[in-house]
Amino acid sequence: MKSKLFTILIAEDDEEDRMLTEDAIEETDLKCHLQFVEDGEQAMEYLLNEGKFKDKNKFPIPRLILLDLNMPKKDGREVLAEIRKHEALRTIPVIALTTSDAPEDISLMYELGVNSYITKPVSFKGMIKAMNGLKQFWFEIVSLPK
Amino acid sequence: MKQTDIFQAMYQHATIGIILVQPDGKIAKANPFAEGLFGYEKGALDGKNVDILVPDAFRASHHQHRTKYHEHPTERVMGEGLELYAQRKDGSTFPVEISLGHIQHDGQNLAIAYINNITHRKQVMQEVAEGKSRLTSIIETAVDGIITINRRGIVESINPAAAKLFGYDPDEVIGNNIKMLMPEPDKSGHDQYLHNYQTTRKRKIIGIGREVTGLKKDGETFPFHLSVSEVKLKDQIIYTGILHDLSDKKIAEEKLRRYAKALERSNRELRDFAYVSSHDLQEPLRKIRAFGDRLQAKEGDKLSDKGKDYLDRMLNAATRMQRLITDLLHFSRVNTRANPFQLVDLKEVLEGVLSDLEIAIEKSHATIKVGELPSIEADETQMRQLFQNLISNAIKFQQPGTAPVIEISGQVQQRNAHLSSTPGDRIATIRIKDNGIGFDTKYADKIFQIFQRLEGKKYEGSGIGLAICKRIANRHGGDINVESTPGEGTTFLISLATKQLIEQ
Repeated sequence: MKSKLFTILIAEDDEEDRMLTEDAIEETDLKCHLQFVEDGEQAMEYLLNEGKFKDKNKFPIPRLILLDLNMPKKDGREVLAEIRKHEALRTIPVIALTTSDAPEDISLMYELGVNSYITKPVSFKGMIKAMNGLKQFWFEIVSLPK
Repeated sequence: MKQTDIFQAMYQHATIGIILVQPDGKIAKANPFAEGLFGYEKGALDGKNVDILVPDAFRASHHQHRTKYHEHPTERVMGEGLELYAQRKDGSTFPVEISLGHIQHDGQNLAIAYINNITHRKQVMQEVAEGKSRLTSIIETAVDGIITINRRGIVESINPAAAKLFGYDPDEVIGNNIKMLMPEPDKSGHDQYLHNYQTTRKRKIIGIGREVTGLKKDGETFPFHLSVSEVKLKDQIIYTGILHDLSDKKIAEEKLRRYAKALERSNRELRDFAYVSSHDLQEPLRKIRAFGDRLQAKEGDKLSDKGKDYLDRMLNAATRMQRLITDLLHFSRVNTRANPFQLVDLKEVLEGVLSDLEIAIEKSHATIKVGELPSIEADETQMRQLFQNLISNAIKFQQPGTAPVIEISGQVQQRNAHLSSTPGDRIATIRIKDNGIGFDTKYADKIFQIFQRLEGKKYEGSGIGLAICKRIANRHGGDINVESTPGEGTTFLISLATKQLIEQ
């Protein structure tokens, strides 16, 4: 599967949330590949092309990561900390997308180097709005290292 | 000067009364001091019976004593005699001390009485005795225990309160080492401690006082406060211990501590429950709404009008539930997400709130009158929330056709009927008065309960605002009360402690 489209990696343990995120991104008409992982360990395997994610063509380094905080095995905080420590991965923009609006979560994630923190909007309209914002900012406005 | 002159002078100027008495009781001679002592003119006593110097009550017995004395004259020195009284010429009596001697003169056996007025001495002695007995009574009846020990630790005295505290009779303790009243390790350490103090003067308890443990006769131990003072007497040092039983206080403290812990635990559980449940309830609800939105957006066209209506209603209900949950979260956060207390200028806070509400104020043509407001120790965010809720309410519940007039003022006053001085003694009272629709005061308690609403859907809101206000006031050591008249307006009275206790 060869494509010049950007890849967004979405780490989300909840199947319905994966559906809704996918739906919302679809609504924004953002042309990209969505890759889903279901927990923090899978997220790291994907990024390091390990385990079932060995195929670098099929599982390219993403342009953006949407990271849930509370996931089994390895949570979003740990994943973020590992990404920021990793030579090749540290520059990838990571957006926290979580139900938590706890101030301690928010400040910890920024301390760990998250690029922005989004509390999952309660309505689907809000979700589309958030994804639109992401699309505009991260895919149309900013320049990122190649 | 001749020797006889010297003796004569000594007699004349002696500062003690000297009277020579003949065997028949007549006074042969009385020196000037004696005359003065009894209030007689010079020479007036000579030849008088000595009995006139004795108070009437003792006169008969004196006569016998005198007769006996003349039969067996002996020396009797001062202070050995009985307590005697003498009578002045004017009939008044005074205590005297008399010593007796006898001489032979012209073949006559003369008794010599040396007489001292001891009125003053007796008075002093009496005062001393009274003082001593007063002190003894105080010690004996003291509620606190008082024990004295000597420098080796031997108990010299123990008052009834102290003896009772330890379950002993005073006699069982006096003469024994004070260690008998101590459990280990104090028991073994006490000799060394006394020794250390006496050699180094390093104080551990003497002159300071602290909580220690006592050992009762029955082997039970108990807490008491002990203050020890060092008393330097003329020839020895004693230590006085004052003991105040703390058993009841400790038990009460322990009860209070356990109660506070239990309360804290149940509070925390309740908070956690409110937080976790509202938080966890949000998740499925969010999905109900999201998939409902999807259904409406993507498949809505395929539904009949009835189906669309059902879906609308379902989504509306979900939105309302969302709001309730969010409110519940906010309500539980008054305590869980509280900021620390700091000095807050309420006037500044109010100005901030009024500027946030500017649009609503303009839209409703409201007039806001701001009076004096104090600075108090508070959570600034919550103070903002408090004003915001109450003022928006005042604007919201306006009378149709009447522009709202809202008056806000505050003052600091002493709390009434306070039992002890605590940091919450002074309270700030804030008054927020409006000319809105008002309500029947029989609902006054209800409006502060969570999700209670008096007005229908005509006015927006979920019924959380006043419940949050009450919680905020409570957290600030105060409360919120309301006075209202339907059709005239409502006044909220918020009391807040000016100084906050540190929260656990």
